[in-house]
Amino acid sequence: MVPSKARAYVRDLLISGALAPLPADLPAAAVLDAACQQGVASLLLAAIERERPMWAKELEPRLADERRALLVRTLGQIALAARSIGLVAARGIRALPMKGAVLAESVYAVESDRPMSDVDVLVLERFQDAVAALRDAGFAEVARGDHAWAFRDPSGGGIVELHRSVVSAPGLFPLDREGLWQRRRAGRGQLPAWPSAEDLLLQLALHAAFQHGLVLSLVQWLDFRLLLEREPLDVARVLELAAASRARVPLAAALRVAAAVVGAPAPEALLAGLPRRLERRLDAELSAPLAFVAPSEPDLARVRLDLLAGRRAELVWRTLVQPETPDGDERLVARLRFALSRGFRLARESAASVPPPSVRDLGEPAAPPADGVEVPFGEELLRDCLASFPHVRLTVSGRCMEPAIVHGEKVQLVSAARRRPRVGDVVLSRQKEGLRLHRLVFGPPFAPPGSRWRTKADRGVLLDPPLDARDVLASIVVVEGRPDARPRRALAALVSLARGLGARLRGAHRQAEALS
Amino acid sequence: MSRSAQGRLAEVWTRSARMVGRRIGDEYVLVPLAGRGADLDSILNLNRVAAFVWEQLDGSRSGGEVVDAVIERFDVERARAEQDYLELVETLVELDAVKRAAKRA
Repeated sequence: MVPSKARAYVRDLLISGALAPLPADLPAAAVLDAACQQGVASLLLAAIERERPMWAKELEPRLADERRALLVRTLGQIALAARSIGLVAARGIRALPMKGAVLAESVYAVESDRPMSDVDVLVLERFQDAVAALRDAGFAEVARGDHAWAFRDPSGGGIVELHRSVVSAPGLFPLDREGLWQRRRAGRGQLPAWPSAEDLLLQLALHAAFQHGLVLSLVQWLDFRLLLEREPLDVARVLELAAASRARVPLAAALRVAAAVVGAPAPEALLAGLPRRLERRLDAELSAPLAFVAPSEPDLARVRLDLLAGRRAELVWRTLVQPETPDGDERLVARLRFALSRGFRLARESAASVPPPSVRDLGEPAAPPADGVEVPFGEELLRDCLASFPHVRLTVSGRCMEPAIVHGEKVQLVSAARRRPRVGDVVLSRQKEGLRLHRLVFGPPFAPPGSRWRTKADRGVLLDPPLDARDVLASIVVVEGRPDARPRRALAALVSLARGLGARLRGAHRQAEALS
Repeated sequence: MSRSAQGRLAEVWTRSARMVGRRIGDEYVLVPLAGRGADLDSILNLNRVAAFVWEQLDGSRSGGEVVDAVIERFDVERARAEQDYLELVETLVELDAVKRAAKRA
């Protein structure tokens, strides 16, 4: 309850611009946590510095440290985007920055106000040559999706995503590449150029609606408001561009949510054109705007179908038939062959876990922790990768899940939004100590809706603390190099649950004996 | 003032692209962007006068002109302002945060 109250408090701050009195049952630390999770720690500090409420006195030094770190990190990330664009430009390839990096430089007062997990660069031509440019510069591929490939910077460790399209299913929302380039503006920071404000708005809307199912962090919703408030927008041009890229519906949907969540001043003309079914659903659900704020889980499939009413066959086609195969083969025969195998795989995947297509490591953990299989990445980055890519590969460390998962093995994860976790799965969950890969021993299909789920390490004695469904981020679908490995073991989960409950009963019994 | 100090005040400096200055709240920080991206351990905090001087180092003003602007903006004596300016520029040169601008016509 406290986290959602804290999110609501932070959202109120964004809407009103002022700090409300802190409710008695809301700890100041929870507000700080929520602000950090929602990417608005700097904005919270700015409000505290303006109003100096007593309750925030202890938070100020922590927030000031956070803001300094955010500034350094964000400037480094923008430098990475600029360097990546420079590397591909050196090969005669045109590319433009997208989303956070541009917004941090253009509509936010200072870059630390717009934290991001990675930076995005839209490649306007010769995608494979752009990939080669980064590889030749020592960048390591970490994930691969239909619309973007992610690379780790060899020097700073930041992540840059090279996009061939704004969202997955390339071609579904056609890109006017020449127009994008012609409309670009000179950058006023580290980035050499920015997309036009109209293109930027459209990209944000597509990303919010289609890629993230209309669930974003507060700072991502704030992007819409600041862009609308601080950039002179040509509404007619936005409509023209949206029509050309067949993105009127995602634009209207995203702006309606942005208006409800953070008070984005969306022009009426841009809000029109929603299919009736989607409009009714948004009308009903926007009465609780926090449902559109992470960590709420989006119903991605339903949102996509609603956004593409009348274009569903095309959605399937564009999802299956890619501009090129994962190996870069652009021939139609190869693409169709890949589409067939992907269609077959997706069909099987709905019934059972199957090996996914090519994915890459997110990296190696430093050292195995004592208390579980730890994930060596920030939740923010992981969430972003899980949302953007069909599968994410991790090298795990720790021995508490052996023999199911052995220390050092590479596993492939699918987000909970794409594949609902079930009892027996090894899931990536947010625990008190951080992110952990443990087995789901109580959850779907046995747990009643709204109840809390339980996880446990196979070699552990005790159950982990109860979890909300949204704390389970992903499940393992493949243990690489062991085709016979079955990460999901329903029976083992039930045995593990029984052992965990038994251990708890024995503990309670011993405690009772000690007291008597 | 010594002849060498006068010569140094005639020099024109410009901010290096590898160093970014930003005001965040009451602080003004310089963030280096070279090597491993930005580095939290390498950021510099500037006081109000130093931040003002940093923003004047745009490759169009000589040291003497920057000092004039400092005296006009802050309550400080010329000798002190000149000394502080030269010390700051020396530090910034050591950090590779500024580079000498081409001489003006």
